[in-house]
Amino acid sequence: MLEFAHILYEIIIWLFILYSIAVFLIYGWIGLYAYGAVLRYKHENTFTDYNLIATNPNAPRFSVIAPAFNEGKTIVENVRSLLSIYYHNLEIIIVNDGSRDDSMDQLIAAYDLERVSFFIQGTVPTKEVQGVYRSKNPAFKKLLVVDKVNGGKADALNVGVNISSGEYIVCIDVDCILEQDAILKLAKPFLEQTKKRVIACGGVIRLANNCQIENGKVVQVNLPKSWLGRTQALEYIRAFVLGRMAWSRASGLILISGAFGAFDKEIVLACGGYDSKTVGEDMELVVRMRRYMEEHKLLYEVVNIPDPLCWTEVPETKEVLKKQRNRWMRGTMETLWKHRKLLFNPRYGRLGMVSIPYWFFFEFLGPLVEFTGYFIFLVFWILGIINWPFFFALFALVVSSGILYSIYAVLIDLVGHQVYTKRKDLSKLIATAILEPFYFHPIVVKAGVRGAVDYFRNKHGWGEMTRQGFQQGVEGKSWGQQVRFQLDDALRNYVPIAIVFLLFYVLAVGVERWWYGYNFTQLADFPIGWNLFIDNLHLGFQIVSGGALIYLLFSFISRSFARGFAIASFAFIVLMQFVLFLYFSESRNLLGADMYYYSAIEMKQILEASGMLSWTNIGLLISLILFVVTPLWISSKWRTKNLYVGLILLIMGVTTCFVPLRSLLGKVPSSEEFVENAERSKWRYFLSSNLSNYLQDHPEIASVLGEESLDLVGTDGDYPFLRGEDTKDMLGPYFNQAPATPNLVVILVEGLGHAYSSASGYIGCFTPFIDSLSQQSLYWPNNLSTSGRTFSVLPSLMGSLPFATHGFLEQDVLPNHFNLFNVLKKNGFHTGFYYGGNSDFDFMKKFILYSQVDTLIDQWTFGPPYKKLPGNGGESWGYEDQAVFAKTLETQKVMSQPYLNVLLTLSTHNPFLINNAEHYEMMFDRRVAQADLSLDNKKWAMENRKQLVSVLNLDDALRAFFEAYKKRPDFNNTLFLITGDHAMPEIPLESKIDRYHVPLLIYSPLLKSAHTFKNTVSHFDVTPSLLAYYRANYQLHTPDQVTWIGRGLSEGPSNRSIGMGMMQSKNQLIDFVYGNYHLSDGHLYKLDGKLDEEPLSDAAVQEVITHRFDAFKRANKLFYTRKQVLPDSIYARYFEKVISKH
Amino acid sequence: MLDLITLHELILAVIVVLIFVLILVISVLIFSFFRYKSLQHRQSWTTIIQQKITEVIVDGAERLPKDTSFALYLKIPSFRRYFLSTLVSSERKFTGKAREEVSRLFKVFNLEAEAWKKMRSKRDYLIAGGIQELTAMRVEQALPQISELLKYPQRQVYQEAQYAIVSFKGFEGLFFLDELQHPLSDWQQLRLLRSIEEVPDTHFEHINKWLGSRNESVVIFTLRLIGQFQLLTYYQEVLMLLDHDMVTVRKHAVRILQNLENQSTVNQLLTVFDNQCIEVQLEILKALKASKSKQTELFLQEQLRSHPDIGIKISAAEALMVLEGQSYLRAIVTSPETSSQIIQIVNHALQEKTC
Repeated sequence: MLEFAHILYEIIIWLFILYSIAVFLIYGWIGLYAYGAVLRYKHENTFTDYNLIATNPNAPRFSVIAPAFNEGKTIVENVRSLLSIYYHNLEIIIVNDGSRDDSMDQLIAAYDLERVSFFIQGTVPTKEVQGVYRSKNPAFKKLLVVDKVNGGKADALNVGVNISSGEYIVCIDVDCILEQDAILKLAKPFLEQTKKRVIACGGVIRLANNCQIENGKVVQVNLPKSWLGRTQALEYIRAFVLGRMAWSRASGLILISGAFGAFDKEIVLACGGYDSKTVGEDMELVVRMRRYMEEHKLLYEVVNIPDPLCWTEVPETKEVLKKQRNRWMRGTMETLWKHRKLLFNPRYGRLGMVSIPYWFFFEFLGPLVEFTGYFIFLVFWILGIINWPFFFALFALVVSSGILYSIYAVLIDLVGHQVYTKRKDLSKLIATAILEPFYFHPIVVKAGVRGAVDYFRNKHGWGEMTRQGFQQGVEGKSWGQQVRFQLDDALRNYVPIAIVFLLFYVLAVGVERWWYGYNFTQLADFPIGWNLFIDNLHLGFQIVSGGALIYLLFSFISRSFARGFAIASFAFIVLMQFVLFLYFSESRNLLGADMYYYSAIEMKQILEASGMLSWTNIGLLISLILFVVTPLWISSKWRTKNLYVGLILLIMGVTTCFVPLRSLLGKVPSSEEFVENAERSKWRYFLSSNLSNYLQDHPEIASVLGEESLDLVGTDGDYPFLRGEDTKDMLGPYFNQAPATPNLVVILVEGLGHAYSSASGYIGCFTPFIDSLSQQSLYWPNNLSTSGRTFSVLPSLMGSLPFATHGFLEQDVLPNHFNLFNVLKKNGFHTGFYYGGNSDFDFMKKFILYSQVDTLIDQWTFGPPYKKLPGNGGESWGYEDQAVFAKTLETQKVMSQPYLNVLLTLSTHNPFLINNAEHYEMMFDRRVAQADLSLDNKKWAMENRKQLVSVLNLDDALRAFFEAYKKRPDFNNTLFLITGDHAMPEIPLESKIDRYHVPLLIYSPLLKSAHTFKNTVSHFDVTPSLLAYYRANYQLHTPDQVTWIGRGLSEGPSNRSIGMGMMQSKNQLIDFVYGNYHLSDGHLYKLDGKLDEEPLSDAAVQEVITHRFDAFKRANKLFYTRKQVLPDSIYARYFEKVISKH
Repeated sequence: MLDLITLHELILAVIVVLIFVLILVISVLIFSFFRYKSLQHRQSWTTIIQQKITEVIVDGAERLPKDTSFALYLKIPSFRRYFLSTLVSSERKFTGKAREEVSRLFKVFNLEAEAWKKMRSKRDYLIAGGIQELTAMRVEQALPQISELLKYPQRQVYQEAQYAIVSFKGFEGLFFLDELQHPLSDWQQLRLLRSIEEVPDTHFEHINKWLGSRNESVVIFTLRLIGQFQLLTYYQEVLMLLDHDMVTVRKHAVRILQNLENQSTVNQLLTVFDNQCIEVQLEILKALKASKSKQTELFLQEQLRSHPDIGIKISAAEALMVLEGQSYLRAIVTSPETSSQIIQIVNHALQEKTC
């Protein structure tokens, strides 16, 4: 998990770095390209004589259209300014957009207007025109005033377009001041067109704030007084002189400012005029015009000229500025969304492949990426994972790049058009360039982000549709129609959310596949991607169709509730997908309902020890939530145009319920359990595990579903595991008779699998000491643990006890039973349990206390100089194995009384962090280099280095323990039993049985000779055999009637036994061994003499084994239903008898 | 990815780029400073040059007093270039005697060499500037070199060469049209038209050839030329162009026919009207409106009543207005059988007050 977090951290950092590099390159290109464009324009127009067209009657007709809304205070002056424009064939159209002030009256009075009949030829739909006015004074013959019902700027412009008679229209804001030669300069590109039609032309807009204006003309240029105004002056220079000039030269310009731009009227009309539904009508029109030209395969150009032609007032208060930028952002988004088809569409040439992507990635995403950057910076800061030298270097680079770009813009402006020529103004501009990143830029970014949020809330088409929603459509309709309308509307609203969910889910599966490929080289040889994808997609469609039903149902209660529910559920599923596959990746186990059988404290300990419960991961989780929830939330505002997509999704979902998944999956690439599990949908497993767990806990529901037949087995009064004690002493013959009852030391090694503790294991021997000890011991290489986790090792090994529902120790109150602790204790043994961790974990302490163990050593009883294991983020599972062994030697004094000590290690537990790691890593490297390992072994070993290094540490600690023990007098009269609680799932399992395949050895100086037993045995067999040994050789009194599942080490799960069930996890009793057969999750395998297994297809055998397993489960079920493993009378009688003996 | 680049290397890379950016910032600032200084110089130079031009216009170039400080300025190459470009700009602002005096300044200060230098440059804009300056100075020796530049691949250069040749040679300078492949922009056409003072009677072949050119812009330019100089002899050739493939050519042909109007023009326009597209029909109606011919009245009334296109109806109504057909139009407005659309159109034409 830590590595995943680290990679995610790296990915985020690199995404930002790559984005910054892209921004850097784009703006570098803009700067250089604009310089060329400005110079070219300057050179081409050095001697241009505009008088050529100023008074030429053959020059094209231009119609200046100026919409006005409540401009009464300035409109007369503004119109006067327009009338002074130097161009003969000109028409000036003022469109009064339903002003509520006296604009019209003032115009009528000032220009001697009279209402005329005017037939409007244009066909662009607009609000109603109330009147058209012309001046009676011939001096104002160019002026045409239109009075119309209010409809917004775009609507007013459309009226102007409809009414205009010019070949070209010039759309301006009425409060703009045009340079007198503005139309002359704008006209030139149109007149110069040859092969390519110039469809639009813009000029540079400059700030009128603080400029001296006389008779509608700028007579003295000054910089605005406020910093806000100055930064906008700088921004306008950057935008118009650099940005637009570069894009114009590259034929990629898609924005001609709404404040001042000229258009080819024929194309404007062909495109349908301005879109009055958008707030970014200027950009939208240019995009639509370009789109029209591309679709009709006509050559065209959109031109920007660097001459300052228009002067406008900019907002000098933050509030107005924010509103303006908010609107710009919404306009950009509306245009990009409306023309989304163009994005990366080669059919639209540069427009689709360059301009639109640029606007999408840099103009639209720019503020959002920057804002996200601030947020991530805060998260990283809180998490303390910022590399400050890197941050400051990068920050300085970003800021200085911005300053460079601004100063460069000032320089280019100086080279080109010299608006600000006063020394004072230039100094102020440079000072503004330095301050801008800290003062102005954050305001603009914030406003942009706010604009994006507003866009997705209410302020665009879809939002309005959502608000109108049901209520508008249902008026006057019957109940049935209303329901149908509601279902229709809800489904259309659900589809975008569902599609976004499916995309995220598939993306998460893609990440899962990538992560496996990145993390597990052994998976590189197996094509697991297809099955993983199909399994998840199959489930994804089922989730979507199931979700649709819930969504439609909830929609009747409340649409917003349904939406919230869908967003929360889908986000949870996507997030959980990450959790599930990361859990699998870390533990090699599939996460199922067993997670519920750990207490909150245990969970916390697991999470802390694995390093998952860190601020980094919490930060990542929060980021991931935002990353997933935001698009889901945005999509919840959308709806599809029709029902088709929704119906297709529903049909797909329903179809997947009937099409068996197996028929879709490809060939299973390997029988290795790890590979098999890797390609499974983790979510499907989690769901099915939870479902079966629920049914198990609710037999009444299971019976309704016809899945429960176990209740029919057994009757009250039955104790299915109870039998007479008849275990043979198979150990006695191998030992010399000791003068006193021998001590027993049981060493339970966490995760000690056969695969890496034996030379015959598929990884090789990484426990040289245990290996050498096994040569001097009674050794069972074919031993099985009873679970895939630690939770069952104590009851199985020490009591040969059944599992109950989720493990014997999970029961609220442990039922009376016999175990090695309490039987030996009653026979005079001193008993002890030694563990470096928290003995409450897995309810081990409950077992110890029940058994009245004399000495309990766990992490709370350790202290200096014992060392804890290193932790992930400060937390670890507890004390290292060296400490446990040393503490045992320290605590267990030499005594005449026999003793039983059980030691449970934990150094080999995930996350496999050990002290003195370097030493054992060197040892590992030496071993890999020197040991007689095959190439396959070496490959496996290198892939699992971390785990095996911890195994070497354990082995070394064990060696030291024995060396120390040998020095004690009681060593010679002690039996040492060593086994693993289960194999490490973190090391890939070759077969299903490998999870349980652990070594078992009994060493003692009392041994006559070493012996290796080839028969299959299990932990269930240990207690019966040990007690038989003590009973036969040292006359210990053991119960006459017992509940041992095992038949003893001589028999194991042979055909004479009832077989042995094995729990993979706390809710998975799916493995069963009987004789040489292994039944795993319904699949039958044949075991050979080395516990290797092959799939077996034999229906008769399968039936027998399944029947046996069912019997085992029935017996187990009966036990946990009764909550008694044996009658109290037997229990009481044994202990009374024993007590009475002493 | 940090496996490929260590964090340390990344920080170093960022710092290197940062230093580079800071160096660029300083360079841009220094360059801006010099640019600002140069601007200031130019402003002071402008005053000096303007003063000199005023002196020349008032006193004449021959009688200029010896000005040592101005001579010193002239030794500065950038001043000479600026002086030259200012003179070229000023030359266009004046006419007559003043223009001659300003032109004389080129020779007095030996600025021709600067222009020649430019024209021999390899940069397009310098070559174009050189052509413009040599043209303004009327350096006829430059004509052979300028003529060669008519086939220069860059638009800016060949357009300046075209303009220069026509400026020097008048109508004969247009002979390049014979083989012109590039389109002539409207802007260029207007420039060329303005440079031609007369069209000799002896060049029928050229004009006919241009009217038949495959280059549409050459045909339109020729039509404009015919219109500008009222070359009535080409009436038939222009009339033939009403069958031209290109709509723009036909539109211009209608305009020029109206310029060259004779007794049969109206009938000829009425004859071809139905065969033309809307754009050309609108142009014909404009021509009929300009002709004010009474014989078109019925035709216009018919178009107003029956033509499907509103633009045609409006143009017909406006033309009727010019033909003093208000009474007819008023009668239509008051007739109960007239559709509201026609009433609106007629009202539009009548431009009546409604309140």
